[in-house]
Amino acid sequence: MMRKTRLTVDSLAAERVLDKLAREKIPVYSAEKSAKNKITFCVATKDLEKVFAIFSGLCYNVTEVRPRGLSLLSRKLLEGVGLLVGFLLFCLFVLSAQSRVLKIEVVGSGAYYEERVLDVLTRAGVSPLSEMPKDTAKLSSEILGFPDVDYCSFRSSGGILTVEVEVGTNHTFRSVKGLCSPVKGKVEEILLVRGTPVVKEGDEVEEGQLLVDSYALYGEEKRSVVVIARVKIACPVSEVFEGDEESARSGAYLKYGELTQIETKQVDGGYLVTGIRHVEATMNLN
Amino acid sequence: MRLIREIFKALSAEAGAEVQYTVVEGQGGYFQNVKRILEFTPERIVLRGKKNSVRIEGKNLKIGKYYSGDVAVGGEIVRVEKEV
Repeated sequence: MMRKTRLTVDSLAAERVLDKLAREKIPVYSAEKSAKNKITFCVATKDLEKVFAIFSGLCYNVTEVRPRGLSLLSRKLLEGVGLLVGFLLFCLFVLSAQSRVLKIEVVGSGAYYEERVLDVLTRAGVSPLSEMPKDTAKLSSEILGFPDVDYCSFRSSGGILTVEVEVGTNHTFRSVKGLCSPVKGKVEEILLVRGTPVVKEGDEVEEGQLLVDSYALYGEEKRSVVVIARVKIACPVSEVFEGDEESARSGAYLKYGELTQIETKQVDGGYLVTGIRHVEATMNLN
Repeated sequence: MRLIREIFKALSAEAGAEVQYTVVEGQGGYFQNVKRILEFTPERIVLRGKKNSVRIEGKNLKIGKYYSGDVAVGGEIVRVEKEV
């Protein structure tokens, strides 16, 4: 908005003032004849110095009309309207930004559920630039339905929606211990997801011997981890079963499960069944 | 040559321009090609162009803006007369 200054000129030929300004390329606004020899008009405040320079050498009595009292107050208020509107718009923007989701953070020990949590929020219509969720109870109950999740809370600050997800600490999944061999035998196969194996395929192991230790190396740092592994151990079997050969094989199957390289030999009191039993030692793996 | 002819044509048109105007009833009028304001009172304004003058009569006449040969006249214009 252009600021203007009101001037009054006293002269016998006041109209010439306007011509003079027009010739000097100074726009004149709101000109009116307030008295016989008096003309009042406005010029842009930025042109004021130029106007006074033009009239300095001429016989015109030019005075600046300064608003006073209510007139001044209303002018100041009008000037301040833009500022006030701008301030109100800024406040409105800040308030609306506060009530909008700008970023979603999933924190806590259950942060690995981030993808599923975001999926739950998206289905509930909560995504960046959407409104902050008002009823979080339903969202919480859905997230608490995830395996092992014991606690879930929502908090929002500065447009950031923080979802805290905590998983249970007394769950067997989280017990940190190594995987040990349940039998004496030979390691056939190792399937390792997490942990550090202390034996390799083909190694002879004793009953109770540690197979996979509960740590992992991150660079040079040794961190305690939950073991997720399966180890197959081949264990030789040799036992006498009473009855005929068929009964002996059935008895061996029922006691040891599937045997490979199975052989039978008639001995006193029954049949000697020999073979290889395959035992699986598993931790946190179905 | 055509360009020069066009320039001369435009310059001669400008030089001989009459005061052109548009009046909106009850809201004043807009006057162009004004060179001087010969008379200015709340009842009468006389504007002079290169070729002619225009006399505006009415009530509470004011000049809304005067710049670059254009004059916006406010107030109630009752009559506009061209004077050669």
